[in-house]
Amino acid sequence: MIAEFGHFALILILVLGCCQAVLFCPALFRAGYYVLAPVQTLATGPVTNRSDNGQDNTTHPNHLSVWPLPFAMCILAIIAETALIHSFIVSDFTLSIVANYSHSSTPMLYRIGAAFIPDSGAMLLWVTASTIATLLFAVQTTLRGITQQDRVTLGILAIITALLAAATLIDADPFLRSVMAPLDGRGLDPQLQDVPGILRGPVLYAGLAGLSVIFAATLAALPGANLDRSWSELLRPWALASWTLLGAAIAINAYRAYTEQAWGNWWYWDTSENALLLPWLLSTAFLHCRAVMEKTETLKPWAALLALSAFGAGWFGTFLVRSDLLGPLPTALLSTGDSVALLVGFCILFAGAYFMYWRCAGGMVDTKDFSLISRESGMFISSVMLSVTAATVLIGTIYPLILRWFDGDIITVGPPFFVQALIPIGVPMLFLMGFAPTLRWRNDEAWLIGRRMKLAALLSLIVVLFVWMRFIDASPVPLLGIGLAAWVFTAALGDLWERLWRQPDHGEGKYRNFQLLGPRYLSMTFAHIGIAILIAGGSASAIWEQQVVLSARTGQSIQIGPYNLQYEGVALLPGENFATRKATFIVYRNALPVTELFPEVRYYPIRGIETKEADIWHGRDGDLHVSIGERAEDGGRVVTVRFLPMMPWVWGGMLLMLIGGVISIGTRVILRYKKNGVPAS
Amino acid sequence: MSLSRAKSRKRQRMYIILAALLAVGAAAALALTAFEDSVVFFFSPTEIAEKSPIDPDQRLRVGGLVEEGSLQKLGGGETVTFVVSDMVNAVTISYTGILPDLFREGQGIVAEGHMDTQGYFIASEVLAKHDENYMPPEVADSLKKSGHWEEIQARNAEEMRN
Repeated sequence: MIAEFGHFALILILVLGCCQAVLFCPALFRAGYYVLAPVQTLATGPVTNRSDNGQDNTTHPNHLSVWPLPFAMCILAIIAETALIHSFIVSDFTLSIVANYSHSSTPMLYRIGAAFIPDSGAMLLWVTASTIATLLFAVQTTLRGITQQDRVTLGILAIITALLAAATLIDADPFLRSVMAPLDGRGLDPQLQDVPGILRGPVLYAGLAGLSVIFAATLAALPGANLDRSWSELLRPWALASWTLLGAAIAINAYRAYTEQAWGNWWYWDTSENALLLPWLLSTAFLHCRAVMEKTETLKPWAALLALSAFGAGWFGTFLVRSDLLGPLPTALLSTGDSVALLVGFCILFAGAYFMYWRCAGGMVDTKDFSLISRESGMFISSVMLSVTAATVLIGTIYPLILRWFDGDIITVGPPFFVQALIPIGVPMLFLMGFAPTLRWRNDEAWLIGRRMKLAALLSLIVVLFVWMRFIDASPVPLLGIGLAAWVFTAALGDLWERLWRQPDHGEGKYRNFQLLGPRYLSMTFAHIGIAILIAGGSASAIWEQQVVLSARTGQSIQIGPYNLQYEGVALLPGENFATRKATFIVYRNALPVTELFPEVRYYPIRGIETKEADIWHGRDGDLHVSIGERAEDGGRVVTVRFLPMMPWVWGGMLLMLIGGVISIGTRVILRYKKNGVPAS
Repeated sequence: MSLSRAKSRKRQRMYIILAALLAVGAAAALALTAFEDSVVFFFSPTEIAEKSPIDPDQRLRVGGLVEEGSLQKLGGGETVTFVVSDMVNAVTISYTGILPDLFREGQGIVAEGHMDTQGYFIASEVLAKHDENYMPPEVADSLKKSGHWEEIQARNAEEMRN
């Protein structure tokens, strides 16, 4: 019965979404008029629209309060989500989703998590995140003073929520009951029984919901070409939050692949990873353009295109993963392949959005100019490079599909393509990343850049030479990565030093200089240093990686890198809902024991599946990654040991980038609260 | 004075846009050349039999059903061989390392690697998906081509019932 409440709530969301779209429709129609009107009137369009905007605040005839409908939708979404989780908790196997993904012996944590993992649960999660984002946006605009444009935004957000709810109901309805309920469920796939795997969904969909707000606000601003400073200020928290959340989803996905898969790679360039990377790259580009917009009100059409495309990439990526068009995905989550409604919704929404953009882009005029060497152009070029990167990743991802349709040839595009195609873009991008933050707004001189950057250039050259001399057989690509990482790192630190110590402090002490930096600069520095460390770690572990595969007998010792592992045999132990064969390895360094590792082979009787659980030690020189396999003919056991030097740098770099995002959001909130209305900058 | 300055600004902006376009064009060209030597083709065992001998330098993927009883361990057990077939032709695959969790006889799998000169397939990676009833789409296609698709489906349905 509770599941029916949830089902009913989901249907009500669809109905209320349509209602909200229609209620705010007068504004939407008026916006549509500017789009469909002959092109000549477009020039005057913005002026008239902007002039009624200010008055609409007070004199709009049917001044409906905007928050009740989003509030009701949000409550309904929470009811639906709760109903689904409740069905999982009480193991209501009459629901086919529960029967397929849960079992009475599944631990409670994974039972709740199983509500997010299958397609239908993930779709419901997206609907919920989208209603929460709509409500937050309604509150934000009400506090700020609502304008006609915000109503259009809310109308568009309602359309998005309604489309998502419809796609959930048509493609993958989580509340469908099966005709014959089984006595017990089939259990959650053991590979998915881990905490990061459960967290990934909520984080990803929260990020996508943030992108949908950016999308809607941009679309609403298009007809009047109202992409002004207030638009970009309104979107600042959304851009930062969704960038941070998408980054967190990528980090979780990478860590999960690294720990769960027996062979311990953290990035495969497979479809589910590219689907996360695409919206992240585009939202990074948007983040930079939005900052330029807020400062100088230039680059309007480009920022608008990025805002629309970031959400488009997110939606399309979700569709690609769900549709299962692209073959076996090593790290993909479960997908059933029903995603037609999701594709139809995508086509409707984005055909409309890009048509509107096409009609309105001409009306956007940049009022100010900037020269070729300036902060604006640095940020513009970096955002172009980021979008080119995204385009390359997209081409690599969908190329197998295109070829299959045209030629019938089945191919896969693997890591070699992405490495080869992305290096020519990545190298200039990282080079630019080094000096772009030191550029001045509007106009700068080339020789000044040279003078500022000579120390960073020298230091990074020294690093490259050192690595090259010491490890002469290192291949050029990781060497290039290390050099560029050193360049970005020293440049960012050098600039920080310059601003903290070299600038005159006007007798107020150096602490004043630190205060003057502002959260924006700090978060940027954190993110750039994070990228540098991530690239250095990734390159180094690629150069110095060592792997040993052998059949080990009890007592045998395995030498790898600076470590010596002693195999102590396997013990059969019971687990919560599995039986495990747990091996013990004692790790020695210089004949001294440093740690113990326990890789396992688990057997889950419910699905009759064996999974290998690697064990990882994050040491000072790098990660030690050990996994065990079958028993070999000669009584030993197959053991894979990998030594990945500097691997902790990869995780540290990702963490620094996330910290950068959180700093920017956090300090903004704190400063707002402290100074009461003075925006942080 | 101000007019000429505005003009030079405009010209500079044109340069920026030109540079951006050039970058996009160059990136597209590089991406397309990268496709040429890094794309991995999928072959069914029948296609391999038709096209042999295949250049050992060419990376490719092979997929099909792992034949029952064909899994053998060599040496210390870290190297395994198994036979993958599309019910018409078969290829022997050799792989060193730990097989994926869902690797099982009778299951559809995809292996990536290269052919050696003796006609064995040396796999560097074996992929099986996280669901026991899952069939990789390439494998399903090649089974449909070889005309044994219904048979396999019926067998799977039978197993489901038991």
